Amino acid sequence: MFHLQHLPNHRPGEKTVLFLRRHWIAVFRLVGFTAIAAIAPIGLLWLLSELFPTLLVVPTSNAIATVFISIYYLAVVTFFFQEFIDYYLDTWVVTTERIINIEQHGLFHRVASEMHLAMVQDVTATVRGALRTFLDYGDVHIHSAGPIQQFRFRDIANPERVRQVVQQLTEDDKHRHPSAYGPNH
Amino acid sequence: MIPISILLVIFLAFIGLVVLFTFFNVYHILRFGKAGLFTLGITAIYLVVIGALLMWSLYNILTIDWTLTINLFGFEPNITNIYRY
Repeated sequence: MFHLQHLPNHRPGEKTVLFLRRHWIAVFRLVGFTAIAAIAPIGLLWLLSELFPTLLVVPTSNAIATVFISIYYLAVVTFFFQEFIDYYLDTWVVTTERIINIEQHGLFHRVASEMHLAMVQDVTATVRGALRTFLDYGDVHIHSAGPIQQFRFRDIANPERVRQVVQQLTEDDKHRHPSAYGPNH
Repeated sequence: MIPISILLVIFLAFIGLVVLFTFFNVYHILRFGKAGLFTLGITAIYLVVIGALLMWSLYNILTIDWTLTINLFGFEPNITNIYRY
């Protein structure tokens, strides 16, 4: 497990300012989808028993139904947790020194990258669509001068506030490490 | 005639897949998740739910007579009759 107080490559005096995940609507969607998937076979079995009353009474039909229902529910629970992990392990950490982007793609693909605040060139917040506007969530794009061209905080809550915080931290960093920004700053 | 025990093989293969996924999921959340009670709690809930589901499945599977066969055509084909015509 990782601790916010002991981030990898921790720098002296570095403090965590923001710890971000996608908006809770992502979990809500996942729970809704799983609930529908869990209820669907019950409706299907009811429909089959109404249309073909003798179908599920046959021992072989009963065996087939038992096996497939077991497989189905195991798949639904495994899928739910797999997707939840995808949500839970996609995190963005903003500290007084750097921005850390950690993304989990599926079971065996994990990307962790970081950008020093001195590399930040531009920060943009985007809220597009009625639901996003209503629930105040969206994307924050952080453009960089370094090898990593852009970080995207995807579907985070309060994107405008996050944009302001990142910009403020970049300004503060300029005052602390003026040499990192070159002679023009 | 297809023996329904073939379903048991499919089911057991799927159980193997679920165990594999569960192992990697739990590994990922415990290795890379944020330290705290929530991470431990969600892992415990997942293990309890998947364990209960496996027990329920195995309990139901054990009540089935696996010596039965599926007759796809609903009747026993009498091959010898075709030579009469």
